[in-house]
Parts: sequence; C-alpha cells; structure tokens
Amino acid sequence: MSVLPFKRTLGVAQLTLFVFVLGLFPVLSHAQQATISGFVTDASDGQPLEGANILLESISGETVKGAAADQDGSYLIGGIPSGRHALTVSFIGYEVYRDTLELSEDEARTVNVGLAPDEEALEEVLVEAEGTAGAARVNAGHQEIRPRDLERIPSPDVAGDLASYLSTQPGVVSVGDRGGKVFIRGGEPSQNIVQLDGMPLYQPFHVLGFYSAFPSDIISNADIYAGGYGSQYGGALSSVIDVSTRTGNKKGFAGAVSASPFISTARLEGPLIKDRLSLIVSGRRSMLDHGASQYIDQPLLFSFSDVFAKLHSKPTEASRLWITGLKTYDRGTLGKGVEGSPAQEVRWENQAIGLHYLILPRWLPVKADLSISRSGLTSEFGPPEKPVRSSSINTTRLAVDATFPGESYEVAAGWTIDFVGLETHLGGMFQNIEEGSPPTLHQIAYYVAPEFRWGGFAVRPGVRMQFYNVRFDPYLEPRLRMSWDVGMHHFSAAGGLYQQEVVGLSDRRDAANVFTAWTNIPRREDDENKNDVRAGRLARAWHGIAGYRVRPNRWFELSVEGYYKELSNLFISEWTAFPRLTTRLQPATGHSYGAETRIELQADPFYGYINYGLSFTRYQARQASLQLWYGTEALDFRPPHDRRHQVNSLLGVTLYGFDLNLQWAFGSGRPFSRAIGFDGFVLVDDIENVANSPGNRRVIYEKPYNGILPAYHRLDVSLERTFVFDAAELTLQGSLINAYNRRNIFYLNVFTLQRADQLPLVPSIGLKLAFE
Amino acid sequence: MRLLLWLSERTVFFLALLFVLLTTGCEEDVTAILGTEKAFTLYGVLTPQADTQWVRVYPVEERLEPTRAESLNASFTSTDLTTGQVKTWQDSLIQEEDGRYSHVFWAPFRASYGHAYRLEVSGADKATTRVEANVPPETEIVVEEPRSLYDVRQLVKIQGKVPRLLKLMVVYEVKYKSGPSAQSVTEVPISYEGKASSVDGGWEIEVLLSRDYQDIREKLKARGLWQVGYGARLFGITARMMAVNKPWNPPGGKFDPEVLVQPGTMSNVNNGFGFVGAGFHLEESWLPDDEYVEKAGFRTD
Repeated sequence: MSVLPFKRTLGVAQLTLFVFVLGLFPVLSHAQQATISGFVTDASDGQPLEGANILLESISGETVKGAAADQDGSYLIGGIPSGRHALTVSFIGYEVYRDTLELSEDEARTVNVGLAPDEEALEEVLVEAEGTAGAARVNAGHQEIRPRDLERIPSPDVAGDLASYLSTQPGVVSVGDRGGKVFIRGGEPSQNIVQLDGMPLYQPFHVLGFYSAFPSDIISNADIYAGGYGSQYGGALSSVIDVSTRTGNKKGFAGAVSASPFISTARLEGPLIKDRLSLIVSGRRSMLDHGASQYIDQPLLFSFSDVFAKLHSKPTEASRLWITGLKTYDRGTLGKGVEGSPAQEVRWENQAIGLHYLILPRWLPVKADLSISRSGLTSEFGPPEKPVRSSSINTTRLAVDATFPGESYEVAAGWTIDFVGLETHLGGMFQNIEEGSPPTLHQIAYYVAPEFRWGGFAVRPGVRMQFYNVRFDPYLEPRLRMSWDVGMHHFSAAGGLYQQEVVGLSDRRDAANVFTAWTNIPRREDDENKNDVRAGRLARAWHGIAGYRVRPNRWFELSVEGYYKELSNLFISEWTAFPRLTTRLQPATGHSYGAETRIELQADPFYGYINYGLSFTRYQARQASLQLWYGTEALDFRPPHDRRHQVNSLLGVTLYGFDLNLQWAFGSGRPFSRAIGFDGFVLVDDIENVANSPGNRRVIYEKPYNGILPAYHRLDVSLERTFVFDAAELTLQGSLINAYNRRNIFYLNVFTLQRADQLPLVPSIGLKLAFE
Repeated sequence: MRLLLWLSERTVFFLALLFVLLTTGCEEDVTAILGTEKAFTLYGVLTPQADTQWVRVYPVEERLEPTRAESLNASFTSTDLTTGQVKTWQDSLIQEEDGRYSHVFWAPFRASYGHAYRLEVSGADKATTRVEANVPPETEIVVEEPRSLYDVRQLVKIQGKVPRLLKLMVVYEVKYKSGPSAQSVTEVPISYEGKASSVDGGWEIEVLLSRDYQDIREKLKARGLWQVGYGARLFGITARMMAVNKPWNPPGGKFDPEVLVQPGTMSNVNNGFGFVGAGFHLEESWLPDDEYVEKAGFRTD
C-alpha cells in the first residue's frame, strides 16, 4: 500500500468530515422539537402503503407538517412544535385515518397506522398508481415501475415479468427473446447495477428473454435509472435496476398457481405469527421441454427456474426486520460448437440472501436501514459435461442507509462496504487462463445526497466517496439530479461521474454471447501487473440527461428526453482472427447519445403508449496492431448493441371483462462482423517442415462491425379474463407471441452460418388461480 | 408559405423514414459471408537445408466446418525460375493434435541457393494462387579478431547478399562452478535481433563480449547458478541466425501470432493468403584468445 503524502491525507480527512457533518446537520437542527414516525400499512394484509399522505395540523387548523410514506410504508416528521395536533393519514382507495396528538418538547412518538380499504374507491387506487408510475412518467432517466405496468405487457404467462417490460423501453436493447442480457442506453449488461432488496445480482435475467428473477407477483416496485442516478448507487457505469419486493400477507393466507406451456409458477404467503411475522415464497420453473417445444416446429433447449422467499417481521412498533433469499438457475444450448465439437451450453446460477433492519429510533429523527447480504453468480460455458469456461463472483455487502427528513429538504446518507471474491477459468480455446482473488475488501463507499425543495423545484446534489481496492485515495463522484414542476410541465436533468472496478469481459464480436468473465482492475504498482493495460485504471463514465414531460389532461402524457454518456477506460478484447475470444485486452473509449420520446394515452376503456428511441453508440479501441492492419491508430466501431432506432407500442382495451393487449416492437438491425471466408493459420517463424508446426483455423473478417443484421419487429397479443369467486380468482389468458411469424434473428454463428431465430408464432394458453 | 414548405419537407422526410423502416424491416436473411476470389492459403519455407520441401495448403472456405480426410482436389506445381524446371507436388494429409485434418503438399528436392521459385496451386473452378520465393544465395560467416579499447568487441561478417537476417542470437557456452564440466556447463543465449548492419557484400554484427558478460552474470544469477567466487568460464561462442528472403519480415521483428494471424499481415501470396518464405540457418562457433576472454570478464582456467 502506498504511503500518502500528509497534505493529501488531510484533504481526504477534511472532506470526509465535511460530508459527514453535512449528513448530521438535519439531526442537529431538529433538537428541541418533537418528532413523529411510524409505518402506514394496509389494514387488510399488512402491506406497506407507499405514497400515503401524513398531515399534521395544529389545532387551529393550520397545516404545519406533512410527509409521504416511502416504499416500506415508513414516514418521519420532525421539527414539530410542542402542543396539540391533528393527524390525518390518507391514501386514495382507503378510508381516512384521523387522530389527535398531544406532543411535548423533544418528544419522539411512534404512530403506526393501518388504513382500511374503501371498496367503493378501489378503482381510484389504480388511477393513482398509474399516475405515479406510467409508461411516459420519466424523470431524468428514472422510471418507477409497478406490478400493474408489468402485467400489461403480453407474454406467454398470466403473470407479468420485469424482463418483458424492460424490453419495451426505448433505451433498452435486448438481444431478443432469449439470451438473458440487457443493454441500457449504450451500456453493457455488466455495467448495470441490479439489486433485489439491496442485494446485488449479476445475471438475473433468464435465458428466455420474457423472464427474469422479478415476476410481478413478488415486486412491490422497481426503480429503473437509465443513467444519471444518484449518489446512493455506485460501482457501475451504466444504469440501475433496483427492485423492492412485497412482504407477505400478515393477516391471512394467500397464494396463486399458474401454468402455461412456457412456465409454471406458485406463490404462497401468509402470517407465521399474525400481525408480526409473515412469509412469502414464490417458485417458477420453465415448461419448455414438455410444453411449448412440443407444438412449435423448433426445439427450445432452455430451462430455468427461480425460488424467492421473504420473511418479514415487526420486532417493535418502530422497526421492521426482514430476510430475503433468491436462487435462480438457467441452462441454454446455443447452437453447435465450432468444427463439430459438442453443442455449446451456457449455465448460470444466482444466489442471494440478505437481512434488513429498518428502524425509526425515538432518540433520533432519522430513518435508518441496516443491511447485510451475500450474493453470487456462477456461470459456465462449453460442452455440457465439460465446460471450458467458468466464472464466479461473490459479494458480501454491509450497508447503512439513513434518511434525515426536513420540511423543505431531506438528506440521504450512508455507508456501503463490499467484500468481493472473483474466480475465472478460461480454458480450451480461451488459452487456459486462471484468474481469481479470494474475497477481499473491495470497496468502502460513503455518500451524502441532500435534497432541497422550493415549490415545484427540487434539486438533489450528491457526492459519493469510493475507496476502491485499486488505490488508497478515494474516488470522488459528484452527482446531481433536479426537477422543476410548472403547472402541467415537468423539466428534469441529471448527471454525474460513475466508476466501476469489477468489470465483465465478453466477446464484443457477438452481442448474443451470454458468457461474461468477471475480473477486477488490478493495482498499478504490482510488478506482475505492470504490463496489464487495466492496471490502476477504473472504467469511468460521465452522464448527462435532460428531459421534459407534459400532461395536459388525464388521458395524455408526453415525455422527451435526451442523454449523453462519455465512457473511458473500457477494456475490451483485442480484435483477433482466431475463432475464439482472446484475453488480450486493449483500452477503449466510447460515447453514447440519443433521444427518447414516450406518449402514454389513458382513456377508459383504452390504454396505450408508443415509445421511440434514437441511439448512437460508438467505441474507439486502441490496439497496437491496428495501424498495421487497417492503417489507423484507433478502431472506431459500432458495438453490436448499438441499435439505432427502436419503437415500442402497446394498445390495451378492457371490454366486457376481457383485457386485450397488443404490443408491437421494432428495432433496427444491430451491427455484426461479416466474414470473407475461413482458412488456416500457421506461424512461420523458423526454417522447418511446416507439417510439424501446429495449425489453427482462422476467420478472414471484413473490417469489424461493418455488417448490419436484419431489423427486428414483432406483434404480441394477449387476451385475458378474470373470474372472481368468493375466495378465489381464476384468470385465463390466451396469447400469440410473434403473431405474424416474423423470422427475427437471435444468433448467427458467423463461423458455421448456423442461425438461431427468436420465437416463431407461438400460441399459448395460461391459467392462474389465486386465493386469499 | 415558408411554413408550408417546411412542413412538406418534414412530411417527405418522415414518409421517407417510414419507407426505409418498413422496407429494411422486411428483410429477414443475412449475408454473413461475403466470399472471395482468393482460393488458397499457403504456408511454408523453401530451404536448401532439407531434401524435401513442404507447404501447407488451406482452401479458403465459406463455412468453418469439420475437416474431412479427403483429397483437396488441387494441383500444386513449383517452377524454378532460374532453370525453368517444373515439379509437381504431392498432397498429404496430417492430423492436428485436436483431430482436425490439414493438407501438406511436398516435393522431394533440395531448393538451390540463389534460385527463385514460383509455387502455383489450382483447384477445380478456382482461380490459381501463386507465390514467389527467392532463396538467398549461399553465405559464409567470417569472425574477425576481437578488438579491445575500453571493452572487448568482435566483428562477425555475413558474406553474401542475404536480404534479411532473423532470430540473430549469440550463444555463450560457460562453466559456472568448479568441478567436472559435464555438470556445470550451460548455454546462455544473448539476443542480437536487429543488431546486424547491412554493408556492401553482406552484413556485420558487432559482438559485445564485455557487455554480454554482464548480461550472462545477471542471467546466471536469475537461474541461481552464479557463484561469486567462481564467475563464469567461457568455453565457446556460437552465432546463430536465419538468412531469409525479403518478405519474411514480421512487424516489429517479432513473431506474435496474435498480430500475424490477421490476413494480409506478412503475406506474399497472390490471389490467396498466407506466407511462403525461403532461407536457411547459419551458425558459426569460435573461442577468442584468452587475453580477450579475460578482459571481457570471463575466466579462462
């Protein structure tokens, strides 16, 4: 470890002290005043009611304070003058709760509220939910997604899934209905932060692209940041998918089972101790081998499964404790191997378990969330019995997040400590490389992000201080998010610096390649790394986003957003004519920019949206041999996920109890590298009989990424009807995937010209039985 | 009016865009392999130091498919451009370590020093692939007497019009400890790649004995063979190199397969890919007088 100059050490210490004091400021400012805090839940099942309004009025009727419950249903109102106050808690679709509170100086009181559903106003709940989320409701790259949004997307399953929804977003490029990779606004899958209840997940999308580890049945809400995310997130360059899960029913047992030719699911939830401890368990398993592949003219050599469980408890009135666990398994065969070798198979497994302790302490006006989690990914690639490549990443995370609410401001601050272990074996034609490190202290991060609000204007500056293993000095990452509401107009902007130390290496010659080798940036000073182009150079991105949204009436909403990402220190495999991925890396830079337009229409009984995304992504790679090969110092190319145009549209109508949804998607062709032909290569470096020199096969490529694959477009249709009985609901769904049987290419093996298409026309019938 | 014009331009643009989207969107097939007129890829070396010449021949194919143990169905001839003699080569099949089959054509003759050869491969319905390789003229190594001023140097001359020298190396045979020589003698190679100077009638290499002694000491230390009390006793010096034809010129003087694998890199094949070189090994051994050996730093007893 290097010895720091005194001045620099002092500077870091001063900065740390400054941001810490900034975080404490709201705490200090609340001294000598009363505080109330608590949880707002649905009285019928104990679910948190995010967005519930809490108003505290002085007895004279003048409103003094207000707050909205967060995703855990928690709220906190500080700085309350002593005296008598009227408390009102309301949420559309629920009966209003009223109480009177006598608060003394310095008092901190816990007030938990259970709101009873108002059956007559139930429809309004849906309207409200659509108003806070919605297809066009984008705020500087941020979109909040609710289960209802997922269920609208036609898929061969009665329940919705986050993966199907993401594929309809204009800035999201997926390689099709299989593959398990998501590229967001020019970023690569390994550059996305994916979290489930705060636990990092590395490859949570299933091999069949309709599905992920996030079915709508277990989701409370999901925050998607396509860029410009705030200081609470770090360690990745591109985007954030932050999923929060539901808690199990604390009042009574409920569950659901569903079946379709693609997937079967089961969910069970209920109280283990009524009102105090609940459990929700969900499991899914693909049915392709016995289901869909039996009646479509195509083998579907995929299988996947996932199991999710959450134990949620109420240890005290002012705290919540929960444990979340997830396990996924995916296996898929991707065509034949090169030169008659056995079929190539990819497998991966995610495992994650985490514990959260959320507390609203009476002695401090703060909401604190303490968590510890352990998650990991193991992936393998190669012949089924003998994988030639494997890679694993395991992360143990300790995190403390705190929110200090104020009247016109709020400060979020927290610490995250990650211990990361990596192991990669790249055998066979991957040149027999072993690389790995035992779990080591990988990063310590501290962030503070105050939010200030003046009328319709809100600004959230932030700074994230990252101590990475790669060097002792902290990396400072400034961030900024802001929004301005003027009547029906909404303006937003976001930006910041983002860095990533754990990087995923994959073969960019092929966007459908689903294997990622995980590695980290080594320190510069290690002698053994002195020739490593990565040494000491963290991948880095600057984001800038500006957006405008308008909602002139209840049935129409339009948003327009532009973005720019500047990428540096990307390390990509050197270009090679060998028909395998080289592990020699070259530095690269890149940029991605584009614009997205979303229009959402809601006019009962119709619902619809249309999205258009225009995107430009380019990489510039610097390989020593480029001058020799192409007469240029840098190879400027469109990476295979650079999809120029993307259109997604949905039209839904509810008539006579039937929900009919039609979704049409279009994506222009992605770049790929065309070949001229194939021959062999022998290294002629001595005067000897060449029969004794080893020979390799070779691909004679045209200039890289000069070809464009055919455009992708598809129409999916679903028709659904729910029958309600006393204690159960039966939902029947019929769907047509790829209704006009478009041959959309998924994967083209340029070596063998073997082509794998996405799903053909697939009719499917599913049913779901839910009880409560 | 201007607004109408602007609107109509926009309308035309969007209609054109829609047309492009729809027409490109209807295409389902992919042209992934562009194909080429180039028929074969050749690798080999013509040398007077072997009584049989060998050249690997790969057909340029449109699929990367498993190889089969069958004839290439191609004719291979060589023409000695100096004498006009034409030879027909035979096809043979070898199996690589991974089980793949490769074709190696061969002809039982010894390439002549200073002669130029044209190799031609023709296949049914394929254009002919050609390559010409000039075997460098016969060459002699002359070692001059060492010179000593501040250090000890020795000039080695390669007499003959050799276009290029590759893998130039000076190998020192040294004894590194007392006792029987059989157990304590080792060879220490010192690279002289790129150190040869072209002069009238050939090349010159200045062997820096004093500097090489320092290198030898460090290399023996690195191998754990250096004994401070003994040093290194010099038994002999050998200069080794390859005299090769002009196109045998790897980028940067290095044989890096990741660089050379790119088609067109160090290639001299017409209407095809690959590389066929010509040349021979050169080697000369000597032992300088004890006076110079000791002055360079070595011991002589």
